[in-house]
Amino acid sequence: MTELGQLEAEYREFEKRKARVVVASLEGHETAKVTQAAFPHLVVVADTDRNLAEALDVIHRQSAPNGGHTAAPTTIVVDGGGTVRWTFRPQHFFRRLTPAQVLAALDSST
Amino acid sequence: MPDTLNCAGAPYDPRMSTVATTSTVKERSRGRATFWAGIGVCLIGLALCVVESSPSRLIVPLYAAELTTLGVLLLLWSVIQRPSVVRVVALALIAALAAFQWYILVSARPSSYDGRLPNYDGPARAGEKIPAFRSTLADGRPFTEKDLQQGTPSVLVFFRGRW
Repeated sequence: MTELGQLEAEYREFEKRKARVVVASLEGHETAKVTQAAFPHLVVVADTDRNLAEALDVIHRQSAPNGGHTAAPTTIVVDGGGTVRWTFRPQHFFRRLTPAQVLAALDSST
Repeated sequence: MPDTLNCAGAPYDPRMSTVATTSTVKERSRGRATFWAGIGVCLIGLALCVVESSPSRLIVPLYAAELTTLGVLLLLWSVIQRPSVVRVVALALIAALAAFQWYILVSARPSSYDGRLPNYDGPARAGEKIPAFRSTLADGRPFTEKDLQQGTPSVLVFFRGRW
């Protein structure tokens, strides 16, 4: 998982590759709207009903500060045809991919 | 009788004075580079923390905590090399800052969770189609697996949340 601000800052690099960055969490629509406003070049998904997270099996149970569920930090590269090309899950939630690592994964897998 | 006596009353020897001065300077500068490296690393961590905390980024003072901890180790090494009041005080302050930063990080998770993540073993595997799903974009429009089949490569990033 990469900090959203770092991805937003590198949006031109993603545009060059004609790729987009879709970010998803289990938070509500109001929070997702705030996130979208803060990061206008990212596509923000409000997966409040967990449909996407359940389909990809990325729910991390009881890992939120309040004891609720969160989406486990996971990065998935999907090509233009909807085929998964690369996945990444850090060993610790502190860990982050750098934008350069995400771009390298995109370059090597699509 | 020599023209000049040193403070012990012995004849003044300029070579001896130079040796003593050089030795004192060497003694005083022992660990100085380590000390300033520790301070520098800590300041870089704080600068990164400020950048991360700016309104356009999520607040995770990750690098700050790691760099401040490295700074503590460097300062500790400089104190071992040559203890002084300034170094001990700096070490105490930076250690307190590191403890605070790690407290902030650790408090962002429940006590039952040690921060480690399970290995990913879900259905999104390289070479497989993305499974069907139906979710919603921030603006309320639907978002499904078909949106990932429109010819544009996508990087799908799941994040824990904005807290």
